[in-house]
Amino acid sequence: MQTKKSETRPEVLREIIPPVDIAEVEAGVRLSVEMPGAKSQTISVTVEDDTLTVSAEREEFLDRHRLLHQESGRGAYRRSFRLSRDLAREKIQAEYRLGVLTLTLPKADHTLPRRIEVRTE
Amino acid sequence: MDLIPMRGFELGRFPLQRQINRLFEEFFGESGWPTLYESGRGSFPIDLAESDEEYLLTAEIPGIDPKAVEISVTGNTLTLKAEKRPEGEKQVKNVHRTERIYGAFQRMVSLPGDVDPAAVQASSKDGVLSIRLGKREEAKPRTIEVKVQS
Repeated sequence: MQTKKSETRPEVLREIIPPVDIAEVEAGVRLSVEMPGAKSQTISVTVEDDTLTVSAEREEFLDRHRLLHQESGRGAYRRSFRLSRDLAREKIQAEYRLGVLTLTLPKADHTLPRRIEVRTE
Repeated sequence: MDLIPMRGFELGRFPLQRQINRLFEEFFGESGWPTLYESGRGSFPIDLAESDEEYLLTAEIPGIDPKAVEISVTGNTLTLKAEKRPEGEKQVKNVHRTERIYGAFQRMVSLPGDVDPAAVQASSKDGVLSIRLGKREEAKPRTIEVKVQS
């Protein structure tokens, strides 16, 4: 049986689980994921059912060099999060800067306070 | 591609854990490239590579303005100093999770050979700092011709 290969998943076995900060801000929820050296064309943010997945491949910095010592992880970045229904998944904003992927997930309309007008006679 | 042994010892998240890991690693001779000194709450992973002409050191510093990183070279010792601060802290109303490590940190590493301080170049891209350190003449590999007398 042939399994469907996801396009965002690169041909490597190892995955790096990037560290993340999650904070509530005025606009909703903000996630900042550390993915230094990610190839910008490969950065992907997907929402499937209730799962938000971020992934990226890493840039290769060595050209004709021989590696002497390595502390950085090998493989591609990948991490998934469970999304609350109170967040507007169609309005997610993403920005990649200085090796940090920042996602802003606004609150869904149904969570915003509604003002109900009182009619007086 | 070369096979690179995975050294799980390096992956310590906390300074004490890392120091102990490093102690083990140096004892077992796995490191081969000791860090002379390290301070601060956080650390950043470093890779070191070499060509005939230079050493290439890459450090992962996500979220740090590369212009604020202090790099100094003396002999074969390279010192990196940086500080990582949380972004957009003022807007935060409630913190749910903090896995990223912030604070000032410093790292001093010894290179396998002497470098020419005049031939050090640093550049940065997407949170990765690349430092190219030109080798001194003495440190470059030389080909010695063998004269064969017949």
